[in-house]
Amino acid sequence: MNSDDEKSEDEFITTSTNRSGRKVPDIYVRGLHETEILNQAQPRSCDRIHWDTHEPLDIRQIIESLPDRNPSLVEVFTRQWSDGQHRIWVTAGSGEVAREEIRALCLEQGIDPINLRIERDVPFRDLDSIEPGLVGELIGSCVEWLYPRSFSVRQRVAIELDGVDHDDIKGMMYLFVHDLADRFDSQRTGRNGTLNFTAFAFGKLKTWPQDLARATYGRSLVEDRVALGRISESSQADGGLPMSIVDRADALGVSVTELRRREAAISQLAQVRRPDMISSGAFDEPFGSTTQIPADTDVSEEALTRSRDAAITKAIFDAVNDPSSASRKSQDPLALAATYLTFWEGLGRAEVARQLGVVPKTVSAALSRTLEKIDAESIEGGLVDPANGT
Amino acid sequence: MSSNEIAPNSFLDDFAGLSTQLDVGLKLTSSLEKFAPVAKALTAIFDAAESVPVSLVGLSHDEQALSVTFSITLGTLDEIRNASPRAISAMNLMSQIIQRLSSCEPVLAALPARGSAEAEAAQAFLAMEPASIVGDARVLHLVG
Repeated sequence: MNSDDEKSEDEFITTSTNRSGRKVPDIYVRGLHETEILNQAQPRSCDRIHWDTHEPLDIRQIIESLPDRNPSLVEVFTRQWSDGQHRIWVTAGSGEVAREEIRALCLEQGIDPINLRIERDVPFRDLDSIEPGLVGELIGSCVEWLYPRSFSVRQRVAIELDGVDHDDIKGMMYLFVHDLADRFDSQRTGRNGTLNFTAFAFGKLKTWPQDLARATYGRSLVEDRVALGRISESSQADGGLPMSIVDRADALGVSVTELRRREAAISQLAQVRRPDMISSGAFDEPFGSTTQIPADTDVSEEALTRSRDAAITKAIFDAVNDPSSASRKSQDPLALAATYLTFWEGLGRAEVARQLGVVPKTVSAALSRTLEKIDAESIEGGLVDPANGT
Repeated sequence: MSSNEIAPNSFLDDFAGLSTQLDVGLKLTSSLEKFAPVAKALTAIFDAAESVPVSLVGLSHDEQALSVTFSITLGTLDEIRNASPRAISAMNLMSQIIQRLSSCEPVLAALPARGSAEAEAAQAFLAMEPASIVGDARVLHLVG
């Protein structure tokens, strides 16, 4: 955004929810207004077909073959989104025909199309036909504006997707806006005039964390976890005792058996996800198998895993128990408890909070205190070579 | 821990209203021949922190090494939340073990599930007649 934006940034508006706010600025790239850039590719109404394959697929070949196989498929477009699925846009109303042709073309190549689906009548703009570089810079400028104004959204992304570091989020946000860009309708008007590109992306950003989590872990699992978390938090907010499993099942409208099944699924998810947060690759299997050595296991063979676990354990204790430090949280049993229940008992954040009688935010803060102080180099440096004991 | 085993700490909310506490598992592994001095060092550390409840909850071994898992009570929920002296003592006890017995590679560990081989072995060991087995012999008796 250039200096022209400063003026528009100071422009106050009344939002759709009747609040006073600042107008989101328009973007200029190389002296061109965003509308001038986007109008290089006129928006059209399309059916979008998307699917997955186990094997690599040459989608360009399919694009070229479709008009030959069916003359009604004159306009066919493709664009890569960050999820790696294959996508083809055809003129609205041609989706069914195109889907069957795509299925046949894939099978002719010996490739099984998985979950071929149609989204009907979606807006689409062929961004590939815009002068090279402009779209990238447009998205980049948009992200530069969004990023510093989306702290809570960024926090939620880091919490929802374990293994995602805060440093990753700006790049992820670029991909998010990139995926949205072909759907932007620059002709759409609201009470404050035409919706601009950044305002469009800003609106979509609100549901980004949930969308990411659903795409990563599956819709039903995430929705169950969100619902269970809400019930748990509302119970704690009321100052009452933790809800019994019968109460929780009632609140969700499911049987106790079904609730147990869902909670087990969520718990298993947490067990798989948590280990990577401390030390990437430190555990090759879900928790339990590395931390328990049954009597018939060859204990010596576990030496390398033990060395790594010992280094992690020491690093955690160095982080949560430093009597020599004068800082307020230098000896932090709550952080140790939250870390232990999360990583060794495999509990999710809401469950840890319930076990410790605190709110989930306190658990997150306690975990952050531990993880921030852990010195990754000391973990690597603490590893012992079982072959020579050094 | 497999999904059908009960996590030993899961009682925390099942008896809400009673005094609830959190136990943390710490596992040490030593070669058989070096275990006697390790046991002595452990005894000294435990003796110096008498206020911290500790119990042996897991034992496993192969031909060369022996692993022991201790359950160390970090404190009640109030003590943990308020960083009370008792919770701090428990943390200091664990830190002592980690620092002084680093050759045994102490690791945080999930408490063995009730009925698991590790837990059963620990129970069997604790049920032995103390007078009939002394010092190193007790360890050797355990591992056969």
